[in-house]
Amino acid sequence: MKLFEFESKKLFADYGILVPKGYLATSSEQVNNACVVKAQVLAGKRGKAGIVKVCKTVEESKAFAEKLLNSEFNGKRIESVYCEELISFSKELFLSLAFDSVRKQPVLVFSLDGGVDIEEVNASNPNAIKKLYIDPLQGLQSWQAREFLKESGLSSELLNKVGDVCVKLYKLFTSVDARMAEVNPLAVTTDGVIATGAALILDDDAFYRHDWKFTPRSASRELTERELAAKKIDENDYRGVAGKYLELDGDIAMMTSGGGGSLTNMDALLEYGGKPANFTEYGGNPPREKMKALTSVILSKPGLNACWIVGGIANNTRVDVTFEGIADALRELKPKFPIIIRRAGPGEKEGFETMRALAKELGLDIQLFGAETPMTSTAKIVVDAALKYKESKK
Amino acid sequence: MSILVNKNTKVIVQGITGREASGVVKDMLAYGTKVVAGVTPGKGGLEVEGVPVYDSFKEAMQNHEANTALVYVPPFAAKEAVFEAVSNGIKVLDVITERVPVRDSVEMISFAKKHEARIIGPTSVGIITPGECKLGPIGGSNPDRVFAKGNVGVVSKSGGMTNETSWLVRQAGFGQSTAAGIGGDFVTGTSFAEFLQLFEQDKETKAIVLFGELGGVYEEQAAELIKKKIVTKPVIAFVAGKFSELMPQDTALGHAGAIIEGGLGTPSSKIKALKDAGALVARVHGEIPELLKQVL
Repeated sequence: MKLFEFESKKLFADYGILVPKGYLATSSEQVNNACVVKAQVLAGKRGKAGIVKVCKTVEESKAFAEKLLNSEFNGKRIESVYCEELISFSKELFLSLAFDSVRKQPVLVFSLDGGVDIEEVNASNPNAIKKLYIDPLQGLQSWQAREFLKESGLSSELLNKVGDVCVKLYKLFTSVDARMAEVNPLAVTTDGVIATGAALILDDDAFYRHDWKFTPRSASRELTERELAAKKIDENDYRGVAGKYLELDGDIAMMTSGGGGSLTNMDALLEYGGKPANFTEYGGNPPREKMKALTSVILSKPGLNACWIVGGIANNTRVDVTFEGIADALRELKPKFPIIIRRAGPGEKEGFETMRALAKELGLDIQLFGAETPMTSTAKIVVDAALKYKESKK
Repeated sequence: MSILVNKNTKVIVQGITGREASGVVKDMLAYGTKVVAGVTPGKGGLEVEGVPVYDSFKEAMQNHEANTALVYVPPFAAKEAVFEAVSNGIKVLDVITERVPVRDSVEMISFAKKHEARIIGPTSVGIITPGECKLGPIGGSNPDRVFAKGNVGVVSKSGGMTNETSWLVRQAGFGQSTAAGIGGDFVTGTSFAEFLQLFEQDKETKAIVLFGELGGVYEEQAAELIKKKIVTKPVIAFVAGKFSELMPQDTALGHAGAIIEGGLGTPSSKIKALKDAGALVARVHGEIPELLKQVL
């Protein structure tokens, strides 16, 4: 989970890293000083996007907050701004902790050239970016941090201060189970160093060992009505997964199963010129009721020209049970558009029989394919079928 | 020959009394895998499918000869299960557990490395050497439908697609030397690059099929090995997730990702790296049999 800056700053302070004084405002009336006004959004490069501003007077702060709070960023309304005291500094450093997947260990990244252009520095002068790989069984000790910082060109005067931030940042990184903990910039002032920029991403898989009170969030646009309805499917029923639904612009309803299989078939559909109406992934042997609910959500989208029910040879997801659920929804909706099915796995014979009987009973246009036909070969079949159906409507 | 698991593999299953694990043990035994013991603290003395259960790994090792651990415990217990098995001398571990925190993964991988042990996973669907050993849920209760002895090595980030990809190998008229699910986690115990090297050294394997997915840089790292001719056997690859690049992208929060991964990680970057290195990359998944026939 990505944290908002004000949430990250609070955690940084909790772990003893000095941050500027600040407050959160949801209306411009709450803004009461000359400060740095920062839009609270879950994206980086805010300075370059023009949603962070150093305001020299209280009027300027209020006006900028007013402007931000009535605007949208990446399709989402800006709901709050964080107002921070102005800090004068002589230099900006970069400090970040994350995991290196190739080395399979945490890595501390440091640069004397911190600030908004750090990625350009990395591209033009990679030598200015220094990395220290950390043994996760040993952790980061202060002498290691000092040794590294000294070799990275940091002056003796700042060594203890920045070294201290490194150790505290590592403590924070491991204690909160972060995927990334970053200070950019770490501003050098006459008194020492202060984290004027902070970013934190928490590991969703470690939430069970924390008692976080963060509100649910999405980085991009708000969820649609159908997405919200789909989300509810998994909420009160842990059996299998059938609530992943992302609404898209196309006309082919997608009922894809398995993580990798769903991606593979989305790609195949696009490769053959089809336009998906949604992205979905079900699996882990969901029960009949959940499959019925998911099918109903997917097929409720207007303007569909075909439906593609596709998956590989399942390991443990029952084809008969999941198809019963799909059939329950089809019986209610009686769609006229073609339905192309490719599936295999436990209970496939019974599942296919259910679909055949249903097609006969309701006069549905259902085509069935088993393991003998590669999954992605049916992508072309569904694309052609959708086109033909679209033409026939004219 | 084969890699990592074979007819001499003797398995201890950690978390054997769980509902899913016991079902998988039944399928493994039916396939002929030597499951010698199970460990579930507090359940010592029980039996699962005729396999004796012990309270500790040490006790299981005192009573049985074993060289492999199948880790089937909940996420909160995964790290300790690995430490326990490795501390008792196990050198090959397959971690089926999903949703292991990355911090735990790097700790267990570091610990295993220090003891010269190898972890496959977390989030592995298992590993199978057809006719010799099925470790984990791979292939379900009917593995013979998809897996048959042969000379194509299969390695996949996706569990379900390990099956489907191996099936395409069969449809092309070939069998598998070994097939493995490495899991799609950001940090994995044994990466694509390490699997390619194992297959390179295996006499039985004549070609390798790799199923990659968006995210991380393991596909790019594998491409590097092919480019440097450390891996010389033909590699057929497919990378899933291209459609994600058509979706609106947020500006990344923080710069660490960009700096550590250097702008890699998208399906396009992986496909380009693999193609440039000389791997045959399937445009759609169903193209794999055709490409395989070109090299074998």
